[in-house]
Amino acid sequence: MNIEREQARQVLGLELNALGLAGPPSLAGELEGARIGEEGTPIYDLNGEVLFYRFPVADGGEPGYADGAARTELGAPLLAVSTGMRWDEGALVEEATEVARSQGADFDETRFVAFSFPKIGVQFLRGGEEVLLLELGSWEPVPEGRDEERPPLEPSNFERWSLLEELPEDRSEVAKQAYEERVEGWEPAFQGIDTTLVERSALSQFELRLRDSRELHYDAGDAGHHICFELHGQETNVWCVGASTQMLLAFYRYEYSQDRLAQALGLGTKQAPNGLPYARVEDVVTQLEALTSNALQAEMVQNPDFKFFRDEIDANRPLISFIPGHSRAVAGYIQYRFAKLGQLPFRGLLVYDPWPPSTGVITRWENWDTQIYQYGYRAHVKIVP
Amino acid sequence: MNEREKVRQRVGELAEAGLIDEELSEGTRVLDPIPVTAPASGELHSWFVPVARDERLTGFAQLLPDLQLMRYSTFPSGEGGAALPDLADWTDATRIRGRAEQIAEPGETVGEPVLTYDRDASRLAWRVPATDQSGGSRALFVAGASAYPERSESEEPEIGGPPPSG
Repeated sequence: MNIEREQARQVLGLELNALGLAGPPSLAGELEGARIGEEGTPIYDLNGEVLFYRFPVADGGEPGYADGAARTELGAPLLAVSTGMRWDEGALVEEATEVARSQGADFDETRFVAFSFPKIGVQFLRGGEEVLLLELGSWEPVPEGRDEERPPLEPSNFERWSLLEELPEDRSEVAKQAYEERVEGWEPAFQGIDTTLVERSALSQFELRLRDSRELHYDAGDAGHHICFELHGQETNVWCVGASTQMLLAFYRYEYSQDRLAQALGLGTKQAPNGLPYARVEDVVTQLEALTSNALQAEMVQNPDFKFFRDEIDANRPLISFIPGHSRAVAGYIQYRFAKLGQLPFRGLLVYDPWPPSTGVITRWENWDTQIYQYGYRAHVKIVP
Repeated sequence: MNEREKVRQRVGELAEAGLIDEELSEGTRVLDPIPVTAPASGELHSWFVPVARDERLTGFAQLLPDLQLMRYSTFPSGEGGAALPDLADWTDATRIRGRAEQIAEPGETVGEPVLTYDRDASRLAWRVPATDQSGGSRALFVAGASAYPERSESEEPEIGGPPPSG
């Protein structure tokens, strides 16, 4: 799908502000105070469609440019940012024209072309047909395309090829979806800030809206309702499963001591405690149901993904999470919508961890990408009086 | 800048980015990072960065060696912070050795504590070697006010309990 230049620039402005906020401090310093030029240079694909816009970035620590996608197939609004080299479209065209004329080219149109994405050049045309293509900067003529067959997206060096024509359909669909999700995340901020300016403080007022986060409340409609979850430390050094089960049941107002839960789950006694054998991980499901007289319907999921936790929290229901050798309760999540280039946005869980024994800790946040989630348990009320 | 300073600086950046508790600014101090060693290899696994108010531990950050945030955790504070653990329980080698001595057998001598974890990196604990008069040695764990002997491997591993054998 095509993106108009103004829309590309607006989203690019938000992305650059996010990069200034969350990116490496050196780049943030170079971008601080920078203005994004309104006149972005269209960069065409070899098939003749606009692929992206290159916007000059000036007045910050260093001049530079940023590339904003003109096609959703590129998967992200911000394709690249570069500092240290000023982007001056007019001067570059003038320089290229001089070289083209010296080579005897006869043309009536020029445009920038990504002839081997992300490499770009200046294309000279007459009557809509190319007469010469010069690589940007070196001003070397780019050779004609090759005739021989090769797998898509595997061009040889200095070979011209069309990204839009070679992009496989499945990759294209995934990329389109990623682009749309990313832009959707920016919608709340669109009206509020000057997207032509990169300023560290610009997004601060939108921080809450730029991340998706929730924790358990007394009622699923958070407004006016208090946060509702209590930490229980494990009462022996091996009763993490008992403490986690206790926390989940307490949310539904079932008050069980850890001794009683140990009895139900086969965790021994305080004097001779034991953990829950892996062979009996299903017992948590059985006991969540039995200890609530089947008012709760529980389910165990192996290798749960982030969505599993997020969906339950959104439905205002706590979970139990088993990681290797340990068990905890989960009562919230956070998911940032922006990240440094090339990295996943931060995702984390709000973990009520019964370790260390007797106190426990509330972990806000546990980085999803640094932990292994082996089993997840969810439960919902089956019988509504 | 040495590694510990980089870790502390990173904690400051994470607080600024909103990934670490906002209470950091309210009279709390970010203390020197303590290396967490991997139990099997003894190599650096992560950094434990205590956050304290007066002589109480309010929480801690745990960062991987590449300074990626693993987690930020806080202890329940109770009325006026009375429920917060003593900072010394988690940072003072003498206090930690003392806890281990309480569960050591008669005739056992306890050695220097090393911060590590018991099975999962989220179960931080100080490992204290206990050596008996015949030279035999075992490990004791101290996690805050709790001390217990290391559990031996089992053919039936447990969540919370002994690790798998082999």
